[in-house]
Amino acid sequence: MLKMSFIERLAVSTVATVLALLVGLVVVAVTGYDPVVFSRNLLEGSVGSEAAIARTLMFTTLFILTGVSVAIAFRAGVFNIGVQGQFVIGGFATVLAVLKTAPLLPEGTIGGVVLLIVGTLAAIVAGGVYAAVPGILKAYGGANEIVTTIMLNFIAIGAVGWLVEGPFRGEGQSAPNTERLPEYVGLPQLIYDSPSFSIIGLGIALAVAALIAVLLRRTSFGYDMVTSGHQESAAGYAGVDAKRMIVATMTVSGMVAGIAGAVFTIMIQGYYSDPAGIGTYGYDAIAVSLLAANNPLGAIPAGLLFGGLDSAGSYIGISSDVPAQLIDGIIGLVVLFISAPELFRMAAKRTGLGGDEQ
Amino acid sequence: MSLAGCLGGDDSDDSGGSGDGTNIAIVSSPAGFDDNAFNDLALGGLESAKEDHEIEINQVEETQQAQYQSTQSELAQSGEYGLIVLVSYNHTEALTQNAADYPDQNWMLINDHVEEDNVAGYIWANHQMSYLGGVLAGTMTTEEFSEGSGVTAPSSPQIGFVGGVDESLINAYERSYVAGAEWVNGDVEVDVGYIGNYTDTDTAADIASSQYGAGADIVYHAAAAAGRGVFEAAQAEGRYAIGVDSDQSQALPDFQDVILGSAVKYINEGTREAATAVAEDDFGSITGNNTLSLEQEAVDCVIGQAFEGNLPDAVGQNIQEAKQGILDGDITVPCAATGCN
Repeated sequence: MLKMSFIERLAVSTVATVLALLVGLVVVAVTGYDPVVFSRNLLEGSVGSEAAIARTLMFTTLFILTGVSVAIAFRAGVFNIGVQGQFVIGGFATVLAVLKTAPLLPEGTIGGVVLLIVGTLAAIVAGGVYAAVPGILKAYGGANEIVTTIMLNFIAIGAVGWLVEGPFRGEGQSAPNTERLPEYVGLPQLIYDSPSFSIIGLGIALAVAALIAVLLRRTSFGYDMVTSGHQESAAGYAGVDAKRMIVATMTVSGMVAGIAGAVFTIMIQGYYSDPAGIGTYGYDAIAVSLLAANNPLGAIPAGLLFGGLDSAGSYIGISSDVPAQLIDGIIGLVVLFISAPELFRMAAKRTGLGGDEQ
Repeated sequence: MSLAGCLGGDDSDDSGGSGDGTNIAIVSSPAGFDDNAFNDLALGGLESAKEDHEIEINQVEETQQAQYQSTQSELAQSGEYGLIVLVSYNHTEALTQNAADYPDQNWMLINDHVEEDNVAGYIWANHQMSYLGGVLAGTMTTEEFSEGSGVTAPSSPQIGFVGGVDESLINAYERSYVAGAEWVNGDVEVDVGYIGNYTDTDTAADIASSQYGAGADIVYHAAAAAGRGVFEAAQAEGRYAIGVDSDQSQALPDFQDVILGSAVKYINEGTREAATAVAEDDFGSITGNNTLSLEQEAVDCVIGQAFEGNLPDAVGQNIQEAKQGILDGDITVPCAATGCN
């Protein structure tokens, strides 16, 4: 089943999504709301207006990036559940780097572009380093990366929460927020006039997905990563240092999560706040990646689906009486239908239990 | 054809304040609604304004601070709302942009302020309510009292304070509390401790336990959720505590046997006032920074539900006298609502 063709995979994902929506509509009807109105809200909220489309694409951008981050690790047989933490550390690093570098550079477009690059590089480094830690612990200490990455999420959220609360709180702020990035540091508003979305952000996400797809499929480095994850002995026989590959996989995965953090900071929020309230893109990304069968390019349509659902959720929360939580329920159903069998299969493969498709 | 007649009836499509109905949107803080605190109180105030005025409330729950920018602008863009209420200072950054971008939209911001003509910021006189909490503690520490699960140590006038983060805002709670206790009893000794955050109940309990151990019989906290640890310590040590922000003997009934009283602020007074102003087309009267204090009866010190009617008469008398003194200007409460300098 893991070796399904692309068409089969697409069919499974589509059927699961449609099924989840249908069950969701039944739940809507049972709870006493009109499923027709709800469906219309879903459509209006995700693609019904320019603002809705921009919002959908904003969520999509983050889901693609974090989804690709998860996919890299899963592809290589490493379970990086710590994308949320790497996303937070990366985003915070962007704010720090930009704020510290800004006084040294001229204001205006050129300074802005340089700061964007500095901020993004900082996020890539920070996300990569933060992900390398559990990679090293797994490779050389035998620590289960699922446990360590989950723990590191809490540490990232707690640490950044403390930093914005105290040492990096903006001057005169009664709320625990950092200083805002300078006005001239931001992605230009092309096509969509939305304060939180730029088509360039989406372009970056698509480019990263393509780049990672090429890396995994067309380079020897990518080949080594995937084989050492799935056939360690074969990889070892071919002269690949499996331990180093684990660290490399986690680092690359974390670097992409860092980019997601940078895009979040620069495109959406413009400052950093308590990470408990910035959303759970790094966790949702696990579902995105599973829906995409851990294929970096598959993360694009999967990210679009999740982006559309989240966007509809925001719209429903604002414009309709239907509880927006129902959207979370539908997302949960999609995940359930698609990934539950997938998860069991992967777990079986990893532990050597269960017999099919070895 | 009676088409024209049909149209005539409800052609009053003018948005916002005027007309016979007012639409008000309220966007939650990251804690969300049903929190038995902040968000529910804010919503409750709007609902009580509904009794006197024709108001439609749209409740928008949004728990991600990162979404406030787009949620606010979407609500403003619709042009349907006479007032958009934003719960908590998590909205401040987003509002600094949106208040300027939507100059015709009226906003109410709870617990902070943004310097724009279309924003009504509301804060509560934290220092006054803490002063009253100090009066309660200062009175009780020399009374002989053993109702509930605690007992006082009347021979030594010693009390405690546990704060969340050692910062200006919480320093105002501390100093006003100390001043209130000293107003009752010049000899009172106050132990002060800070946790370093607002969530760590264990550390809060440790600090409170050591204060009780050192001879304090009543501890007041300004530590939000972490304050629960103070109540746990009070139960363990057989002493008393004072709650903060809302009547915590009601919010945390498990601890009503040690919560002598709570320093409370009525968030709902603020939202009711703002909703009423907008419904009466008088938003201009509340723009700017509003501090709700004793004068509006928006802060108070209430007795815990297990102790109502049981406390010595001196408590009620002293609190009443202190309130009057503050209102008359005979008592100057140190610090201000937003902090100490």
